[in-house]
Formats: sequence, C-alpha cells, structure tokens
Amino acid sequence: MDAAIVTRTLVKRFGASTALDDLDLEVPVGGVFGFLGPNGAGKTTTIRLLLDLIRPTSGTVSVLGLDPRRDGVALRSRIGYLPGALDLPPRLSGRDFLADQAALCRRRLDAEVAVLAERLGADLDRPMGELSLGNRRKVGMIAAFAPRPELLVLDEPTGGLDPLVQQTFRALAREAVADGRTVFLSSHVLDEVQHIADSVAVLREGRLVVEGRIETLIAQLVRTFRVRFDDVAAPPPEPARLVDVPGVVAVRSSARGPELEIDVEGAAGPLLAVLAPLRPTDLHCAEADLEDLFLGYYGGADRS
Amino acid sequence: MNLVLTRRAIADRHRWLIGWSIGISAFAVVNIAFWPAFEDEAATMNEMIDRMPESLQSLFGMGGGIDPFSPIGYLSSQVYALALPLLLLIAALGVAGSLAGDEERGLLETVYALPVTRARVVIERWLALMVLTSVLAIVSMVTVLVSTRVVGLEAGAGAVALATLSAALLTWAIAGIGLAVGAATGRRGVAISVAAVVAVASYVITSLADAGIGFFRHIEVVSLFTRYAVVETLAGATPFGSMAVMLAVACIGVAVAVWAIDRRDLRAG
Repeated sequence: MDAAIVTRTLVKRFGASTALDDLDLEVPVGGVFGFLGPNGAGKTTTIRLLLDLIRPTSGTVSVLGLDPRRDGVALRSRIGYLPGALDLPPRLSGRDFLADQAALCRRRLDAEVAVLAERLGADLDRPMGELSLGNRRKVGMIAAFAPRPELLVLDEPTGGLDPLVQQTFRALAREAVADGRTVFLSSHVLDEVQHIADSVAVLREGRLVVEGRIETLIAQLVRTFRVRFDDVAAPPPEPARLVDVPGVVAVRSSARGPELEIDVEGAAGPLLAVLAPLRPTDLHCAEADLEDLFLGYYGGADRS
Repeated sequence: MNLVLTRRAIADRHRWLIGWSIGISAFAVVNIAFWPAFEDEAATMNEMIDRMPESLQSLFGMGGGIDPFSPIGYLSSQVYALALPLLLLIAALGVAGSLAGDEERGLLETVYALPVTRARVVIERWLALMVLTSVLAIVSMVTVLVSTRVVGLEAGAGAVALATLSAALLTWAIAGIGLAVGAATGRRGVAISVAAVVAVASYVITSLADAGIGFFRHIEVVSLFTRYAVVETLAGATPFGSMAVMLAVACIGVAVAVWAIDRRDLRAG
C-alpha cells in the first residue's frame, strides 16, 4: 500500500448544492499533506467522507486501503481526527473527556495524554466550557495524537493557537512523520502549511485545482520581477522586446518611474541574460509563496 | 462494550436525576396526602361527579366504571392515569432527544469519528434512558407505597408495582418513537415534537373512546394509552398483553433508530 488516501471521481452533493465535484485525490503514506482551499471549498466535506461521518453521492474513497463505509470501525481505530469546528462537552474536564475517548478506543492512554498535555501546556482539570478556544483545541489535539494513529486527519489544526503552541504542533507532526505515519491537514492559512507540508493539494469550489510536491509547485509559480532603469543613458526597453524571452508571461511599464514589471514562470535565467546588457540599476523579486499559488488559482484580483 | 457512553450519559445527569426524583416524589406525596380529606367528602363528591357528562369524567381519568372516590379510583386519577406517565415522559423525552441534540451541537463528532458503530452510540444512549427512567419509576413506586400506607389508602403493593411498570413501559414506547425520529433526522426538536404529538393524540383518542364516542372507539386500537390500562391494573388485573405491546413498540423504536442513523449523513456541529 503506497497511498494513505485515494479518492476517485468523488462527488458529494447536499441537496442542490455540490460540495465536491469529481475529486481525484491521492495522499502518499508518510509525510505531511496540506489540503488547501478557502472556506467553503469542500475541505471539511472531504475529511468527513474519509471518516464515514457522511457518505459519497458517487465515486469511491479508500483510506489506508479500507473502505470507510464497509470497514468504518477498523479504519477509525487507525485514524486520529481533530474536527475543524471542535465542540466539546462544556461541563466535562479535558481529563474525563480524554479518558472516555481512550476507553471508546479500548486503550489506556494516560501516559501519552500526560506527555502531550505537558508539551502543549493544556489544562485538563477545568470544565472545557471554561477554556479558551485555543485551550480547547489543545485538548482536541491531544485526543488526536495520543493513540499514535497511522493517519492523522486534522481540520484547520492551528486555528486559535498561539505561535508557541503552533511550534509544538509542528514538532508533533514532524515526529509522527518520522515514525512513518501520515499527517493530512487542511488549512486556509497558507503559512502554516508551507512550513510543514511535503505535498499539497489545492481545492476550489469542490474541485482539485492543483496538487504536487511543494517545491515543485513553488518553482512553477509565476513571480513578478521589478526591474529599475535609473540610468538616463540606459532607459527601459520597450516591453515588446521582452515578451518573447522564454519564461516571460507578461511585461508592464510601472507607474513608479523607469521601471518594468515582468511576470516570469519557472526559471528566470533567460530573462536575466537578456536584461544584463540593458544595464538595469535594480532588480526586485518577492519570494514566491503559496499565497501567490492560491491567488493565482483562485483568480484573486489583488494578486501581488 | 464497556458502556462508556451509557455511564457518561448518566453521570452527566446526576443533578437532573436528583431533581426529577424529588419532583416526582413530592408530586406523589402531595396528591396522596389529600386522600383522607377526599375520603370524608366521597359521598358528596360522588353525587357531583355523577351529574357530570361521562365524556368529562373520563377526561379527568375517572372513567372505566371505577368509583373515583374508592382508594384505587383516587390513586389512579390523581397519580397514575395522567400525571405520573406525563412526568416520566417529559423526563424521558429530554434524554431521548439528546441523541439528536448532541449531534446538532457537534458534541458527537468526536465520538462517531472513533472506532465505534453508530448503532452502539444509539443503544448506549437508550440504555442510559432506560436506567434513568427506571430510577424515577422506582422512586415514584416507593413513594406511593410509603405514602399510601401512611394515609391509610388501600392499594396492593403488587398492583402498584405493576401499574408503575406499565407507566414505565408507556414512557419507553413513546421515548422509543422519539429516539427513532431523532436518529432518522438528527433533529432534537423534531424528535421531541413527534413523540409529544403521539403521546397527546394517544391520550385524547383513548379518553374519548372511553367516553363512548363511536369514532374514537374504532381507532383506539392505535393509541398507546389504550394499552396503558392503569385503573384495571391497580384493581388487580394483569394486562401482560398490553404491556407486551408497549414493550414491542419501544423495541421497534430502538431498532428503527439503529437502522435509520446508519443511512444518512451525520450533521456537522
């Protein structure tokens, strides 16, 4: 078995609205897989299908080689789940809640719970209704990680967590991966995924718009170079001269004086070779990140 | 099955259970405490009741040919005919509705995502309902037995026990319907409303049938209250057939709940 999650032409409709439309997703075993998309893209729907909380309208789902519908109990004993909208019994303490969870899994997890609570700084003694959102999510995170499941399914795991706890979370995810386990996490916060994910898939309106290794995707990004020509003896070239250079997608004159904005996809070498003899005085390129990927695929108007 | 969910559902309600126990006991004690006074007035009251139309008498739990001012008639109309099953039912429907209610609040998302079947969640919650309502029924029975003896109201212990069991069975039958509706819809409000409508409709049908209204006599067979023949039970009858019907309705309700919850999407909180 080389894939932790495989979906084929997966469709999920709720009444008239289509939440997932022909989703073909493949998540390899091992590593952190980032499942990206804006709110409402279908991330939570996908996750709930993996756990058999909801059923597909059509298409197939296979998780750890099992069918969630047929082998639900066996499958869920191998998955740790952190819901996005984590609702916990308000009058129960974290300790009692986690003891129930372990008992329902037929496990004794007191030692694991204690270690995780210490590392995350979780308060397990107060009723969970009195805890802040971040502190409740720590309890949820302990519930997901304590049984050391083969597959961790984490829906927006770091929402409401302070940076220090986010760091602990990333360490926990890396440790799970070092054990050969798989972490599948959804997010609309790109930063957190970029720093821990090996692969990502981007979902938009129920469809997969891109998936792949994160470095590969970043290398394919369209970046914008700003090239300045302050030397009066060497004015900016006509944009038309540059559009045929390999990798160049678009060239615009800048409103900020003698400056060109050049969109480049992939390697920037050919463009630099052409620019060098034209004596530019400055060159600026914003570091490519998933924000660009996102906005590119979502057609955001404020692309930078 | 280590019954974690049953134990948690009961533990969550320990204050609820104390409150309901006190309430039901107090209700029984207060009603039975008036027995000596009523007994003295029985003759006058009987004349008054006799002048009421029969349909009105039956609506007040005084039909069925039992003298309402006999000890058993009094116990039936004041405690068993309506008020006790109503109290048990209100308590039970809260518990039955919590399966759907907790799902609506997202509290079961972390349970259904564990290696447990949905059927187990339904059955464990049902067991909790049975335990909680049994405790209330037993509390009411003990209270009735003690207080009737204190005020000198003659009622056989066996008959009181059987009447209490009938009330519990009626409660479970209607709560089973509520559980099934909650499991099928995932909606607490719908579950409780449907069960309450069934209960009220049953009560009205049976009362009007007892009053001799032809149409209701034809349809009273569908009413659960028709199976709850508590006056006769207190008078010494042993209506095991009717009790079996109520038990069967409860079992069918649970079976439908188990079947229905596995055939739909669970609600996200």
